[in-house]
Amino acid sequence: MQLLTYTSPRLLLASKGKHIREITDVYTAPVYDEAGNIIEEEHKPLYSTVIFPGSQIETLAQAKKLYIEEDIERTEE
Amino acid sequence: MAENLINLSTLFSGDNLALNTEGAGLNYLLNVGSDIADSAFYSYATAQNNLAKGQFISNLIPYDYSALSQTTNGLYLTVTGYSNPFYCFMRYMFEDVTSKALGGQNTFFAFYSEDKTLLGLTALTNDGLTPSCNYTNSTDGTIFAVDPTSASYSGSTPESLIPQDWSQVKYVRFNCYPNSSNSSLADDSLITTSSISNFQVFRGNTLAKTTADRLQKIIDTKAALKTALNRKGCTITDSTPFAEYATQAANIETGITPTGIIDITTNGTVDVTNYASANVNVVSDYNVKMLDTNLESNGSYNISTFITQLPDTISVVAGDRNHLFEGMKRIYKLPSITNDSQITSANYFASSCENLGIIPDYNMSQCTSFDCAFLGIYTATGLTIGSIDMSSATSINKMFQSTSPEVKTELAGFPNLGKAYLTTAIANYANYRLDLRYLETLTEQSAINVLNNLYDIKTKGCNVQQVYFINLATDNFTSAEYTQAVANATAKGWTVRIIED
Repeated sequence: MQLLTYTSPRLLLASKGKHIREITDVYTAPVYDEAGNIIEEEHKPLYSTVIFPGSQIETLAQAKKLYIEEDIERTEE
Repeated sequence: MAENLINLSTLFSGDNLALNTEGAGLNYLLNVGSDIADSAFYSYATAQNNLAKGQFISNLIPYDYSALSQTTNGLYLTVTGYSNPFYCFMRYMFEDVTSKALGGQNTFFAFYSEDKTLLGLTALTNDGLTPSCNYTNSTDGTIFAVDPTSASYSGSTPESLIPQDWSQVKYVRFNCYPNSSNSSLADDSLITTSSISNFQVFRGNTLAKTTADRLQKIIDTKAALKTALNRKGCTITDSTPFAEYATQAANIETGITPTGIIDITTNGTVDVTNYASANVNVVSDYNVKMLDTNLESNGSYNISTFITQLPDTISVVAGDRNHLFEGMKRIYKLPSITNDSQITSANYFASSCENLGIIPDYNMSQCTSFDCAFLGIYTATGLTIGSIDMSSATSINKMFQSTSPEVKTELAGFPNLGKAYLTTAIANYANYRLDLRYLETLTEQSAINVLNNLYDIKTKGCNVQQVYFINLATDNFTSAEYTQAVANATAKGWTVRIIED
């Protein structure tokens, strides 16, 4: 993951073969009641390969407090 | 001789046929009250060699005198002993003044054309009737002198002094001559605003007409009365005697006074003549065409599914209006809301309106929550959403979730979104996220509109928040305007994320 600050808008790019999700955006399995009815939907994280970060994010370190990158292959399993 | 004069104040009062009652009453061409009351006027006049120089009374209103000749015809016919109608005209005006020992030979009127050329001059003796003054015209036509002591014209005012063409008269000047040996009574200290309030030149069309004019007025009034009565159901023809007009008028039915409320619960024709209002509440599947125009309660209505059309405009009760328009699967266009700014919560607003195509502008500036608003709109056509002010929004969770118009999605933007965000909220706060990733057919201009309308939360001091677009839409965005809009949004503290499908 790299932060390009010399472009306008600035870019937060995923490394090759990877993509980015929010650190707090994690997979959660569906929840069913006793009758087998789904009561809580499955949640799949959202991924990006390019993000235009808000101006409060000035450094890559700051970006990494909010986003993390993962291998694309692993998330598709 | 005064008893031979017409008292114009009588003519102008009440419902006198001499009046043109269709007019606005008196119109003043010249009311010199405030001007002449100023003693400085007389001081000036003296200094200028007895008004040797023309001093036009200020604020005279240019007036087309073409009507005056007609007016004075009526007056002329009525008054005997005064061959010139203008004498009567002036005599009336001076009547009050002469009683205060002013006027007479010391007073005259001068008449000027548009370019202030002197067209005529007339003066009055002490009795206010007989002209008695000499005059000389200046070379340039704007300066003249008056010698009231000459008494050269003690008999009558030479006709040549009276404007021969009244239509050319655009200005009237009233002058006094207070320093003459014959004007010892002409003390300007006696002149008060009230005493000269009658110095008015009356507009012609308010004055009396001839007898023929009066008869014509009656004829015209009769014709108007006939038309009015026939509109009320009378049957008056040209041959109907005038006396019968009153009879038919007396027989006009005045109708009933509707009172009470009638409840209408079924379709059909209902006689509502006797009722002041009708409470219509017809509930029938597939027959409901319109919704009541005042939605007073929260909640999702089962009937919503069957509503096919809404009024163009509705009002809502102020406050939280969650679930408004929810589940109206057959509605294509939402109505304008007259008091949309009074809505304080709009969760599930227009959600599950599967065939919605048009959402107008809404001023939701007082609305704090839009959770699940515009959720689940799957329209097979396009979806156009007007500008929605979100100045107070602090929760937009799941807004537009699962909404995916097939043709295109057009957004005018959400002005001031972020304005109410707290500076203490964490970065990437879920409730603050504008998630548009379901809008796969979002147009480029819509993305620009959205981004450019976001509030500057960076300057406000908020942590960074996010806008989501789906790459299926943004892959086609190539314009410099879009790139600039993204830069604008990021500068204002918003992270723009392109979500992969």
